[in-house]
Amino acid sequence: MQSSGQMVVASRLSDGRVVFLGTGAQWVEDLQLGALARHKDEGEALLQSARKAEAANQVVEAYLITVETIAGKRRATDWRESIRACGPTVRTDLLTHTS
Amino acid sequence: MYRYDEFDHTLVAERVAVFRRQVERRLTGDITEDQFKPLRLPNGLYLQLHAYMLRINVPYGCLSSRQLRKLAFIARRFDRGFGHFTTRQNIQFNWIRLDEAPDILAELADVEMNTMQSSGNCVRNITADQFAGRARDEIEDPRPWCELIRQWSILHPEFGYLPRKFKIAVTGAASDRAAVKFHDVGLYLRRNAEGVIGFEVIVGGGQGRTPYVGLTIREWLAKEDLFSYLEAILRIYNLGGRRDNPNKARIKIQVNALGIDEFRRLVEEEWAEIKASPLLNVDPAEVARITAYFAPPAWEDLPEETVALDRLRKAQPAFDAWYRANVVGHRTPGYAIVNLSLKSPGIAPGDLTAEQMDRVADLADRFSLGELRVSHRQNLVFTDVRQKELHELWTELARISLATANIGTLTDIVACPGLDFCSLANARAIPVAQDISRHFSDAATLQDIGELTINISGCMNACGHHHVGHIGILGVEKKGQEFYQLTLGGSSAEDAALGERLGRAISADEVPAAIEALVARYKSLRSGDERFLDTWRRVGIEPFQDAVYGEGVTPRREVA
Ligand code: HEM
Ligand code: SF4
Repeated sequence: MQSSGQMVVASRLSDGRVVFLGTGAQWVEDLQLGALARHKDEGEALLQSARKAEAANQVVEAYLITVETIAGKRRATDWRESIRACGPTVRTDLLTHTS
Repeated sequence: MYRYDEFDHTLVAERVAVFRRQVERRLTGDITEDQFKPLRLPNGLYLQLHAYMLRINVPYGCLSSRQLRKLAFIARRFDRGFGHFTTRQNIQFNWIRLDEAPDILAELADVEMNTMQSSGNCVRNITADQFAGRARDEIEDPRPWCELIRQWSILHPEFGYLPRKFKIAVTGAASDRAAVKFHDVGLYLRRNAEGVIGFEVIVGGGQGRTPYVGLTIREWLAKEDLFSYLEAILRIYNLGGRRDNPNKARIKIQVNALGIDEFRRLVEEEWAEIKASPLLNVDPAEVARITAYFAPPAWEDLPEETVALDRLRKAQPAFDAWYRANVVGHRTPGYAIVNLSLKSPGIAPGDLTAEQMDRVADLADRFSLGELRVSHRQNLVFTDVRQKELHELWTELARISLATANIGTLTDIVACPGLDFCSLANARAIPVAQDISRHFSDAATLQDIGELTINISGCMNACGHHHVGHIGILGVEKKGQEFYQLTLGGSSAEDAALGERLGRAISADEVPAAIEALVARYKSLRSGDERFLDTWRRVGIEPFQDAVYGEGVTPRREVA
C-alpha cells in the first residue's frame, strides 16, 4: 500500500532542530509522529497553524513537504527533505538518528 | 602569534554581551526572526538543515594548542563531539543551539577567538599561506599584514554593508598555497626592480556560479600605501557593486563588467584623493609592533638529520611514504613542517573529533612549540618540528588516524558539507569523497599518481573550490536525484586556471570508476614525471572524455 500526503516541517527556534507539526499543535522530532494532511485543505490548515507557531516564536521557516507512506512507514519524497528528516547520511557513528 | 590587547578584549567582550541580549530578546519574542537574522549572521550563526551552525574565525589559519583545546571543549559540551575545518581556514560546528550560542562566544573570547564578520556582506576572515613564516620559498611573513588588515577591516564603519561578502588572501611565498587569485582581493608580497618588498595586488577573483581568475590591478604597491589602496578598491566596489542582484553582487562581476583597465582607473582616481590621509597611512611603528608578535620562535641550533632520517625511511616504507607526502622543508636547519592529514580513508574531509583535537593540542605542545595552522585544503600543520622527532611524531599521529600519507595526492580531497548539512546544497559531497578515498587507499598507488587535487562542492556556490581542482566534482540535482559534473584542469596555485567541463553528469556510483579511468588515462599518457595537470594541459580534453564516456562517444554538454 502506498499513499501520499503532506506534513509541515520547521526548525525549532531554541535549538534549530528539525521538527514536524503534530496533531495537537505540538511539535515532534519524529516524522512518523507528525500530523499528516491527506488533502490540500488539510495541508493549508496545518500551515496556518504553523504560522501561528512562528508568530509565537516556537519555530522558524515552516513549510509543507510531501511524504509517502509505504508499508506503514512514512518517507519524505524529496531527497533533501528525507535527509532533513533522518539526519546526515555521514558521521552516523557520532550522531543519533530519529527515523 | 598575535595576542589580544585591551582593546581587542573589550571589543570582543562587548560583542558577546550585546549578542547575549539579542538572543534573549529573540527567545522571548521581543524581536522577530526577520529582525534577528541580520544580528545573528554577523556573529557567524547560520540556520542549517539540522540545527544552527556556528562558523568560528581562525585568523589566517593560526591556532594555538590552548585554542584547540577550547574547540575540543566546545565540540564536546555544545556540539556532537566534532568540528569541520573549511576551505577558508575556519572551523564550523554543525549542531549548535541558539540558546547556548552566547555561552560559546564567551568561551571563545576566553582564548582570544571570535566569530565576528565570519558571515555577512563584510570583509571576512583574512586567509594566508599555511606555511607562513616557515616556508623556504617565502620573501616575507604575510601574517603581520593579515593581522593589520584584520584590524583595519573589523567593524570598519564604511564597509559593514558591502554589496556582498569580501574575501582577502595574502602570501609571501613563490608557490601560491592560498588560492590568492580566487579572492576578491589577493596580495602577493613581491620585490620591485629596486629590490624593495611591496604587494602585487590582484582583484576580482572568485568562484561561485561565475568563476573568475583574479587580475592584477597593480604590479607593485608600497607597503605604506596598503590601507589607502584597499580602501580605494572597497569604495569603488561599495559604490558600484550590483546591490540589485545577489548573484551579480561580488566585485568580480563589477571588475569584469567595467574591464580591469577602467576599474583600475576608478580606483587610482579615488586613491589619489585619499592616499595622503594620515588616517590611512600604514604607521611603521604599528607595523613593527604587530610584526613582533610573529617573531620567529627561539629555534635551537640543530643539525640536518638527513642520514638518520634516511635510515629510518629505508627501514620503514610506511614512514617513508608519510615523510615524502606530508613533511615539508623548513627554513631553519634541523626543523621540518609537518602536515596532519584530516583525510584518512572514509573520513569526512576536514572533520576532527574532540578527542583528536585534544590529542593534537598535546602533540603541538610536545612537538611544535604549541602552535599549529589550518590549511585551505582542510588539513592541519605543525610548523616547527625537530627533524630528530619526526619518527616519534609520526607514530603518535598514526594512533589518532592523522598520519595518512596523502597530502597533495588524489585522496587529499577538499569537500564542502554538501547536502548532509548545508541548506543550499543540491547534492551530497562528503560520501563522494569517502568513496574515492576508500577506493584509492594504497599509499604506493597514490605516490605513483603524484600530485592530483580533487575538489568537491555540493552546489554551484563552490565552497569546495571544485572550479580549481585538477579534478573538480560539482553536485547537481536532476529530477530529484544527485548527479556529479566533472571538471578537469583547474588550479588554485600560481598557475591558476578554471577547470573545463568534461561532459554529462554522472551518478554518485559512477564517480570512483570515472576517477579510476581518468587516472589510468593519465598514467598511459604522462611523459616522465609530468603531473596530471601538465599532461592535461599538453593533450587536452579528448583523451580524458574518451576514458570516461567511451571511445568516439561525444559527451553531451549540459548546463548544470
Ligand atoms: C554552511 C553553509 C554555507 C553557506 C550558506 C555558504 C554560502 C555560500 C555562497 C552563497 C557562496 C557563493 C557566494 C558568491 O558567489 O557570491 C559561497 C561561496 C564560498 N564559500 Fe560558502 N557557504 C557555506 C559553507 C561553506 C563552507 C563549509 C566553506 C568551506 C569549506 C565555505 C567557503 C566558501 C568558499 C571558499 C566560497 C567560494 C569562493 C567565493 O567566495 O567566491 N562555505 N558560500
Ligand atoms: S558549495 Fe553549496 S552545498 Fe557546499 S557548502 Fe557551499 S553552499 Fe553548501
